[in-house]
Amino acid sequence: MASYISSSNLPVPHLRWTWIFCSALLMVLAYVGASEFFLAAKGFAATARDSEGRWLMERKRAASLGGDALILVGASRIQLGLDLKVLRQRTGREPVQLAIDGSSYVPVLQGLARDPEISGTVVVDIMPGPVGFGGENTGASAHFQAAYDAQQTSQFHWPTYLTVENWLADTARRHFINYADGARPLDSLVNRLLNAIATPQYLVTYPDRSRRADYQLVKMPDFYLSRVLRHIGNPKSIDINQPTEQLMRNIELYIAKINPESEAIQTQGGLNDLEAAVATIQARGGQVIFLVMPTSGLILAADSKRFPRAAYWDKLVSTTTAKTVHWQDHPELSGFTCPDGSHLDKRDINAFTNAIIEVAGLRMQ
Amino acid sequence: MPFNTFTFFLFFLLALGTYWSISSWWLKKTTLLVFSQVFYAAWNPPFVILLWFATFSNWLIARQINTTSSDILRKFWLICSISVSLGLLVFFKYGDFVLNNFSELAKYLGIYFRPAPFNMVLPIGISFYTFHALSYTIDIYRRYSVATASLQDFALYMSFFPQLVAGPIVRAGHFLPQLRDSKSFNKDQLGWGLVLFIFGLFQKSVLADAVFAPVVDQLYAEPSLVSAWDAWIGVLAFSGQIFCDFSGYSTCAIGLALCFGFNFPDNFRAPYGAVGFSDYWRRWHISLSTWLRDYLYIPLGGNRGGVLATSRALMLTMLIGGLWHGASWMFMLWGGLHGMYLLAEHLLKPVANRLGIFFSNEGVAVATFFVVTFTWIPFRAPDGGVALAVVKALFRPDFPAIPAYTLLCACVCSVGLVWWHIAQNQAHAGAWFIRMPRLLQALTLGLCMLGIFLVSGGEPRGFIYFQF
Repeated sequence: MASYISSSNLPVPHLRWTWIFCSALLMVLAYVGASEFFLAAKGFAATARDSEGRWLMERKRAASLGGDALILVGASRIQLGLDLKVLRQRTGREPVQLAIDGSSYVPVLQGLARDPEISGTVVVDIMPGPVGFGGENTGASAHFQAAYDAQQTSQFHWPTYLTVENWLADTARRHFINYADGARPLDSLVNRLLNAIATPQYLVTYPDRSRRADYQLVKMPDFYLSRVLRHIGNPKSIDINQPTEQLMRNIELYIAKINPESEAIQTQGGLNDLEAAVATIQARGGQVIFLVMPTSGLILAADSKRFPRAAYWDKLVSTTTAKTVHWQDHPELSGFTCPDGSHLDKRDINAFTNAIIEVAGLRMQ
Repeated sequence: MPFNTFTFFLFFLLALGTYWSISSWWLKKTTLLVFSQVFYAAWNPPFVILLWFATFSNWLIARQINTTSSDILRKFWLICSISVSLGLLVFFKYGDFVLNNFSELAKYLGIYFRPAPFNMVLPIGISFYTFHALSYTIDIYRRYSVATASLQDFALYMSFFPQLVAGPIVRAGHFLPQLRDSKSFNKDQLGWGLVLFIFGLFQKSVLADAVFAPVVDQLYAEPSLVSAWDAWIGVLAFSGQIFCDFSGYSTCAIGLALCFGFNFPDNFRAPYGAVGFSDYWRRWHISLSTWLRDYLYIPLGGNRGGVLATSRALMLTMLIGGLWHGASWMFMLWGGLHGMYLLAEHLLKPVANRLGIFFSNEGVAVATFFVVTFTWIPFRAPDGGVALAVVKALFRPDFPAIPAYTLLCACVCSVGLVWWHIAQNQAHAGAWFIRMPRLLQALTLGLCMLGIFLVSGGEPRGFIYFQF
């Protein structure tokens, strides 16, 4: 007889299971109830989660809308800066938010160019700096686009557990404040409930993937300075523990010393790649608009030093057949201030969206 | 679907409710079979066909072995079964590895050979159900057991969902007899099963994923940028992560099976409390180590021959055991190192016994743990370069790159885990819970459930052993 592995598990114990489980469950429910109550009292609210599943759904919608689609591509600036309801009402087209926070527009734009179903208007949020299609195979946008491409390999999509899981997880997150803005309940406990100086919930994500930021809720200028520091790569030479005014001065000095990046990083190949994508979409009857969203203060100063407009943006404008809109070129777009230097406040996006519609010629005829 | 998802929670409730609401035993088993196929198909539906093929072919072959009296024919059918099972495993799991190594060898010999891209997706759980099938037919060939006439029973043995994708590797002789008689609902089995499931999920979600994984991921992602602090705690943390991940899965599987009235064997017994390497392998992934012992080490001669024969059998077993984990030289290296430790322990036993009087069991357990922990480095590292970089990082004086709070949590939990294993190394798993007063039992269970809730909501990480 083979020496079977031991089955010497403990004999099944005889315990008062109903009492034990009810008490344990009560404890968990008490915590969930209390934490939801106190989070709500501190001004937090449940939000949708900007997940891969949600992006895939929107991407699919972009393909199904054909020429009626108004597709927004880019990163957080366009995701926080445009009001989809206003776009829908005033352009007569169906806006689709495909921007991905903190990620490159390149894989998404490449995917749109490859897709014969895309024949609408594509608005691409361009960050100051070189453009091109090299070295963009990592990050969330590459990952999301790859997931979309994988779905398109066959006509019939096998449902997997992820289909159900995404729906269940999104439903839970929409109804519990503990999960607000992609947090785990542990993050909510540590950073929001137990932290007396917790950053309030200034950012809200909506089911259509648009986001709104309320910068009146955060402590300024600390929030602004931390954003600037992150933007310039948190240099080790700047001590972040100094008084605010001193910190501000040191950041200003640091930015003043920034040298422009070598113009060689903007290659002709990069410009050609981008133009090829534009030409493909426009040949199908679509339209591409390159848009530079507003920035302010030290973020604007840092970008202007590193990527002088003449060496980057102006080169793009001169080589592309896409429509181009830079906020500095239009008085209607220049009057907005980004409280954190990089994004518009929720109070401004209605006016900004209306201004963009006019400047980009998107108004319903 | 992994156990740590909302979807599985619903699936389990539905399966449990349906199973216990049916009175016919045949229908009960059919229900479990259907739910098990749905569970497997939830990852990649077409691979269910592969599972059916492995099931049907092995069931048929086993019947042939059973009914044939000719030794030659019995051997022929056994070879057929081994070929089918190992063929599938080699094709899906090692195809890429074999081709790449062959082309490297050809290049070394000056021959240009560039194989077409293989790009084969590894069917989840294939290593586990292949071993189920192999042990079944080999046992029948050896006349340790008889082939079951019921395809339904055999299919359930192969695909019962709690153990389907990551074990424990249950033997047919242990499981099939449990399918003979109808099971009646038992509140104690359900209660204890749910407790085990919650403990397993706590180990996986809270300890493995939330406490240990962040440190380990950062260390192995950029070993050249971290300090000795990060490296030491990261290496310790991987010991914690892999144990909590895999033992968590096994505990969940044992608990889930019990909810349906089935008994699974233990798969871990406080392995970090092991005194020496033989003891370690009696405690770590017991279902695999005993499988390798019964179907590989003993047939290779075991310790029946001289020193050389024993060494050869031991090293081969451990190298194959390493390779079972994945098609990589790093797993082979890990298996080879463990083989060497076992061999050294075997050869030096008389000396060690004499020296043993100078060391306490606890001291030897800590020393064993540290050697096991360092041996996890090649197991976790994707290649030799990363493994060496991690070893170098162990000697790099600098300030920690990983946040202090994260490091502290991982460090305290690693030390706590080892202490717990040493303290509990003679006790039955779970006995501590049963001895507690009722209020403390409820509190412990509540805290585990609360922990699972607190770390929920992120992207669920797959169980490490799914990839094997």
